[in-house]
Amino acid sequence: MTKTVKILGLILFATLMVLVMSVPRPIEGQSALQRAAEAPTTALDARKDDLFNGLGIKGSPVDECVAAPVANRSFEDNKFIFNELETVADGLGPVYNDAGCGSCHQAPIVGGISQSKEMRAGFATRNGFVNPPGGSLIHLRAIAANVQERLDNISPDYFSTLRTTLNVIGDGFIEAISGNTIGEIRSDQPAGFKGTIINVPVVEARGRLRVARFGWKNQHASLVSFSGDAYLNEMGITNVFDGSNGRVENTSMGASVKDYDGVADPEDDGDDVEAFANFMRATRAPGRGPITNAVLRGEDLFHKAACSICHTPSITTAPAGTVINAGEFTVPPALGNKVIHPFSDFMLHDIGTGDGIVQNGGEATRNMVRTPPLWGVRTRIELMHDGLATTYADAIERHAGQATFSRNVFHVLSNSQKADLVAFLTSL
Amino acid sequence: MRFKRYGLLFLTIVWLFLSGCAKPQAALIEEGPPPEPGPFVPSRTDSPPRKLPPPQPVEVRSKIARIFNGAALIDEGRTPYFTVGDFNGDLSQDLVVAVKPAPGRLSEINDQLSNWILVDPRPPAIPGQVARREQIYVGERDSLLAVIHGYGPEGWRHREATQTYLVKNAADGPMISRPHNEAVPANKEKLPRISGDVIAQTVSGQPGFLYFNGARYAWFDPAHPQLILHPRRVHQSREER
Repeated sequence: MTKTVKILGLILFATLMVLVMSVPRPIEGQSALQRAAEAPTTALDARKDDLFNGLGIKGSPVDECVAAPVANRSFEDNKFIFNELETVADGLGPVYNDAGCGSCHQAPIVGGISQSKEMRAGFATRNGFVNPPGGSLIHLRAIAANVQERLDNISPDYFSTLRTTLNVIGDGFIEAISGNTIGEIRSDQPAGFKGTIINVPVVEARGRLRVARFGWKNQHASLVSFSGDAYLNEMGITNVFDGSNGRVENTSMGASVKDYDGVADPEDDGDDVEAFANFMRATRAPGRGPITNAVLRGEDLFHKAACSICHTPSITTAPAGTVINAGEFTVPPALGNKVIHPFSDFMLHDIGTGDGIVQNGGEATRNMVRTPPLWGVRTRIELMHDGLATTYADAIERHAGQATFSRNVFHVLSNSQKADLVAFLTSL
Repeated sequence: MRFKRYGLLFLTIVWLFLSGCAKPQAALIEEGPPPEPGPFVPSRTDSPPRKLPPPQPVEVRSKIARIFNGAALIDEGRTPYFTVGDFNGDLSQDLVVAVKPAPGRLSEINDQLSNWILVDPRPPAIPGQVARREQIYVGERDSLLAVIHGYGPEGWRHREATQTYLVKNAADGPMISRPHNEAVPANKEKLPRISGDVIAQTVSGQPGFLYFNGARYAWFDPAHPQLILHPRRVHQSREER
């Protein structure tokens, strides 16, 4: 009898062990198995040291670059590299927009915004959008007067536009959103509000495609691709992640600037680009301002006016361990299964303000812009893609096309309700 | 015998353990949805704009009453006091009406939370200054133009067509809607690349026209063309249609 009980006990124990070992780990779309946690946030206040989200090690602030790059760089190391100003000796230009990431992404804290704008130009023809020689980006600076890009020398039929600098704080969480999640958001949107999803190449994955989410035109899907592009196109530093493996320098309205560039290509082996991406990945999400009763009333109106259909308030990132970026990045615990409040669906929409420039999305997207995340919008005075709305009410009034319904709901609000809605936006 | 039995049991447990550990795990690999185009936007159509009947004064009055709720009145002293065109170039017919502030309602007109965008399209006082950022204030005696953007094939008559720009310092003399093809080529070298029709007028004795630059209405004086550094266009150009 005792022997039988022992044997049965052993079998029961073994069965339990097998069951425990067989429980599957959560896969994408099963995040409910683990309770998602709120992403840590920053107060967006330069007096506070609260930008690091816990990914990797924080390290100590770096004052100046005195040594060669170290392995396993800390957040502070990467922040230093993000803020570093490139020089002609580093390969700056010959045509460029600014000398460092932190020059444009600066306020109120590193990674934020600035008044700097990017200029784009092009031609509208019967056959669709045509780039000027050298591409739609018109660089506003050069290392030599002779290579400064100008619009004087192209056909006068061009049109041009400015685009404001986007905040990159919290971009690691945006990168960690599964493409499926963006697809699900779209499925839930009513017919007239549905966004446009485009897939764009992930440079570090040899051009394999992923759902786009970064840039005014949704040009990028990964932070390495975005950083590599910006390093080349905003600063003129060729690099292995710039889309041509660092072999192709920018031009001055199509003319070669080779004679002005004494640095061998690629000017960056990818080390700096990875530092930029890792800095962004290690930033917290932009935090909210004070939540007053007016803010809460305004938030309710924001939903009732259907603004939240495109300015999606909450998204949960993919579980830690999910392989994203077409196989090139695994979501770390610091970014995985986190609830973020970006107030964006990360899709393209036509709200009547588009600039006519075609980039990755094809001709149909020329007048579309990505729903800009409203987190951190209280740090801006120049609103919309062109910065030409200077008050929230003005920005709302400029919404047309797919946003017509929401604008018209704004019109029927009382002034007190409108003030509540503005209070809500001012809390973001 | 006993040893054999326990040995067999031990082996079974080990086998069960190993098979449990070796069970393949579901891979955590992101899969994205296929590209999804957006919906048809009523204000964007590849077909030519529908021929609409000419606007009737009663329709214009009704529209102005709905937009301004009595805060602005039609300035019927101007002839004509309304006209139509596709001023923002979105292939949807827009309406422009001469209006004036209603007595005692000026604060509503100037309210920052009002349902219209106040615009002063005059060239900046300082040469070379391209952006005006000061608060625009409408006075009691100001003549104004209300430009109401259309929505979809019905244009300004559509009930959702409420986007309104209230333009000051640009209402004087007869107001004529000039098609893009007439107004723009004649001034091609001096103009920003605009895609909509224009509202031709004579302001303070100077002929010129109002045009939409993608964000605001701006004034073009052919005699003194202002350097426009960053012209913007929002919709299709006429050449593409």
